[in-house]
Amino acid sequence: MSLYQLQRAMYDFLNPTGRARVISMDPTTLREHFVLTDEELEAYIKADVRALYLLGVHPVLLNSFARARVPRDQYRAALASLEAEQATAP
Amino acid sequence: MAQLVAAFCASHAPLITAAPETAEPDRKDRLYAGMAELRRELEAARPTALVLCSNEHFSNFFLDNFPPFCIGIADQHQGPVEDWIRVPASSVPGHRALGTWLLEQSYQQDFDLSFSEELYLDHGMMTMVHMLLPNLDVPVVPIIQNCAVKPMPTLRRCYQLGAFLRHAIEHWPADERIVLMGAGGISHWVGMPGMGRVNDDFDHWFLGLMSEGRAELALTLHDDEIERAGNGAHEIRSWLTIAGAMGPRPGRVLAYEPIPEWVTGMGILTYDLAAMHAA
Repeated sequence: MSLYQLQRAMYDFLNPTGRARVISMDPTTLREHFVLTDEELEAYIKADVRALYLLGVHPVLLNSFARARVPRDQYRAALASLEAEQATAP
Repeated sequence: MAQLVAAFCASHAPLITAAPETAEPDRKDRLYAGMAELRRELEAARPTALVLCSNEHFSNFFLDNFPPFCIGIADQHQGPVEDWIRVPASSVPGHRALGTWLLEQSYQQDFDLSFSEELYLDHGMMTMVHMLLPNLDVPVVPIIQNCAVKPMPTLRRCYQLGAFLRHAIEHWPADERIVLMGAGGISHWVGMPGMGRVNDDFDHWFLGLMSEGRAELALTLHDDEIERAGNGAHEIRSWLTIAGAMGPRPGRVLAYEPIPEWVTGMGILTYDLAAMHAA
């Protein structure tokens, strides 16, 4: 797990042009700049809100990333699904 | 000396500009009416600068360097960072002389603000600038606060920051009229299960303290108590900064609406500084 690197990639994606180290959805390019597990790489590329949350991404960073990449309804549905799971967890 | 001519607080949900139509119409209209009143008060104050305190959303700082407070001292600030909030990309005028004065005074007063010549303004500030200063005709000195990543500055430290800001503004040897504003909160959940909930009991309690001039009572809140109103409720730090500048002076709530569609308890509060200066 390389949470710091995953969050760094997300932060760079959100930064205004010129400040980021890399903005790419290409796995090879991403791996040249960040140390990411397969799971983290896939979650980043797909902007998988559920996976990113469960990987431990900071919620405020996740929110900014999701707002930029995921349709609003899809984003809210992903969080609602997580809430429902938490409510029924033993 | 410079004069503090107005002080405000407001919630700053990005959807206030990105998706206003999603809110229940009556709630949206009442909230917008409050914002219009705030704009009238701002214009009536004839400010020469706005000191705007808001929180960091990973728009400027990452975990390699995350300061508790950072003041922008540049001549211009770019914003918004987000291209989806329906606010035009702008170059917002800064106020180097005021920013530098506050920075230098912070060191004299043992506050040690971080500073930047390249702060990017996100929705936290740009929604306010867009709605209150659409002509970009008043320079802005941004102060970014850490209200997201633990450990955060304590509520008391934010309150003390406000007291410092007022003292420094009122001792600035310049013929300027300064407005102080905090933008953030109140209850909301950000990027986590619960997003879309609003804790209006917390919001009314907090607004009650602010409007009674008793915000100091909120300074002992623990993180878990704040988080009953969501992780975004940590942004009350920006409100408490303004409360620190005002001390026991009561505020006046211009609007409060719980708007789940904007995922935020939306509040607007002002202080009657005309009476203070007349006294």
